[in-house]
Amino acid sequence: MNKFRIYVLLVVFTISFIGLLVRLFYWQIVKGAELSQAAAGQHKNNLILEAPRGEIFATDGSWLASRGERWTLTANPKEVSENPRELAEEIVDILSKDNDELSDKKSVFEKIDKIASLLDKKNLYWIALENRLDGQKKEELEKLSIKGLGFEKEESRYYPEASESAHLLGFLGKNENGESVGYFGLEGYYDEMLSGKKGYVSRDSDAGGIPILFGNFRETKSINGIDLVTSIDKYIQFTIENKLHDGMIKYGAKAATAIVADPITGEILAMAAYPTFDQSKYYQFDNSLFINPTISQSFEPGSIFKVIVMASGIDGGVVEPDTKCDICSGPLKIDKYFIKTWNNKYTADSTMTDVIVHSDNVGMSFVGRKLGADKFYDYLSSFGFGKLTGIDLQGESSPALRKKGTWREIDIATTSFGQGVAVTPIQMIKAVSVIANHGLLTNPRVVKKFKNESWEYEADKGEVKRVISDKTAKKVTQMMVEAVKNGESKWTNLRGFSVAGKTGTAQIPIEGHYDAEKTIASFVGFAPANDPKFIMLITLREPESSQWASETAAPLWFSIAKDLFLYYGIQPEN
Amino acid sequence: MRFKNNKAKRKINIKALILLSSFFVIAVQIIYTIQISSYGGKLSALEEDFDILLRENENLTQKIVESTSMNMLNETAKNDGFIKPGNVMYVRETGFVASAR
Repeated sequence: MNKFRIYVLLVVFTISFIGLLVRLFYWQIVKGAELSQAAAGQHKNNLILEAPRGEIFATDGSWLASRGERWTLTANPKEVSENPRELAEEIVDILSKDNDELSDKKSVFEKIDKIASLLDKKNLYWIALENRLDGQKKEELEKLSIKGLGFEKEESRYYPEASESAHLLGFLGKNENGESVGYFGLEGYYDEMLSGKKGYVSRDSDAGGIPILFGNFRETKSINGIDLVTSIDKYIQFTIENKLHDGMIKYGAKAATAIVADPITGEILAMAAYPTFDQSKYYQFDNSLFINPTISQSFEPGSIFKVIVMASGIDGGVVEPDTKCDICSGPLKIDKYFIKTWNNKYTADSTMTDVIVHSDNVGMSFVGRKLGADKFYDYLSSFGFGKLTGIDLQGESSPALRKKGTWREIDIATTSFGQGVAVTPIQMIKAVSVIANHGLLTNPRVVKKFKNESWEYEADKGEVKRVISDKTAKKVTQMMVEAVKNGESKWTNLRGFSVAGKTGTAQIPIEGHYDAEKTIASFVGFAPANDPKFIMLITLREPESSQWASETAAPLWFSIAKDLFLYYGIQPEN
Repeated sequence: MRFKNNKAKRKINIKALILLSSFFVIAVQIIYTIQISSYGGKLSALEEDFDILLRENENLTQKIVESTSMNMLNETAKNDGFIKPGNVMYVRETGFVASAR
């Protein structure tokens, strides 16, 4: 009997032992990796150290773009005990306050349905219910004290001037992985610098999450994004944004651009374009609006191009301001084409100054012919046409120049008065700045300085090249001063102020021909003429009130210049 | 006999010394562990304070950013009754014509 008991006990112990072995094998070998990971998750604390995005400053140190705080509302449906639909209604009630996207009943109900269906997915541990919540809405939702709801901080941007400078700054959007990425303008061009690098901390912690100091500890520090100090002057930016918008409405234009720069340094002081978009709600706008027309949209410049051609002619030694045009008595026939003046009036023996003052197309063809195709091409190329200006904004494009050696006589003639050639507004500013800057070509730049908490350094300004002589620059400047005083736009001139400028009314090519009614009106000028503080280009696309720049772009230019004279303390001469 | 007694005493002393040292080391270890644990708590509290200060700092910066906005300043100036001069006259006088204090 005793022996039997011993056998039974032995069998029981053996079975138990085998059972234990099997169980241990299961936990240690089969489930080992999973359980060890789960255990590590309980005592290991892994933190991501945020790298705050760099900020963008105006030249006076005030903000153009600062770090903002936004939150993603998240939920763990397994923990949510409330009825999904009732909870969704509570959430949407808070989300819809001051929210344009949830202003009508239909969108509110759609939102409720969407959130309720997400909360209903009980097999999930984490879902994002809403993005871009501000601090106030977060607080209101927190007050509901609903178990299973949480918040995750997301990188965002605050633009204190709202949609102003939208094209210049670009915006902070999301890529396909949901990561924040800068697009267009400064945000796009300097995205890598602005982004910084996230850090990482891994350490042991107790059940309450308190770090265990003698446990494992590993840290990779985060590197903050670099701040950009730009040359943008907030006052000038504010002025051109408002005046350009008003001007566009007043003259019935479809689109408008404005650039103000320092012609001596190449620094961009302000840049605006309409129609525009709101960076903080970029996802509500059409993608085509994100493209900055001042650096990406090409146009035929028309008569503002004449000052470049005239500067080339004088510098090339083929004409002087008092050279007389011996073909200006009537229209000029080239092959089957006739080159005419804008008002069909002709003056025999016009001087080159008269040609600029009266914007004479035949006179400019005379200069083009004298220059010859190759010299003409070389000058345009050295003024920077046909290539990128290198401005530090994302999305610049450059229309190509007609290839050297392929220029026909008609091409020389039309290009000499700014038709049949395409440029961007920033290329025009760069080229005309050569005349204002004693013949030197600078590079347009927006960022002046890069800085961090402990260091700062100046941005590279690029190489400065001589394109025309100082003497030529002075002669052309004087011709431009005459054009402002005695040209078609003389009525809009601010008496006493020394302004060098030129109007341009270019026809828009449509389906192989020029539409006489549709024009791009522009005005480029700098002031004071002999010691320029600023250079400004205004373009208006298809103005309805008048097709002529002298009645649209020119008065708008002078209306802005009036404010700039006061701002810079520029006084009338004499 | 006297010599023997001394040897026995010395044996006892070494044992006691080892025992005492062990207790001392264990006690120090326990105290040190408790102290380190409390530092962990302090570190955690400091990290929380740091986060709060960071948040406050961000809020204050946000307020400064808002107050330097040109649009905001323009609105404030308008509300305070400032108006932009409609026309500016330039005079030839070299001395003071008008001065404001």
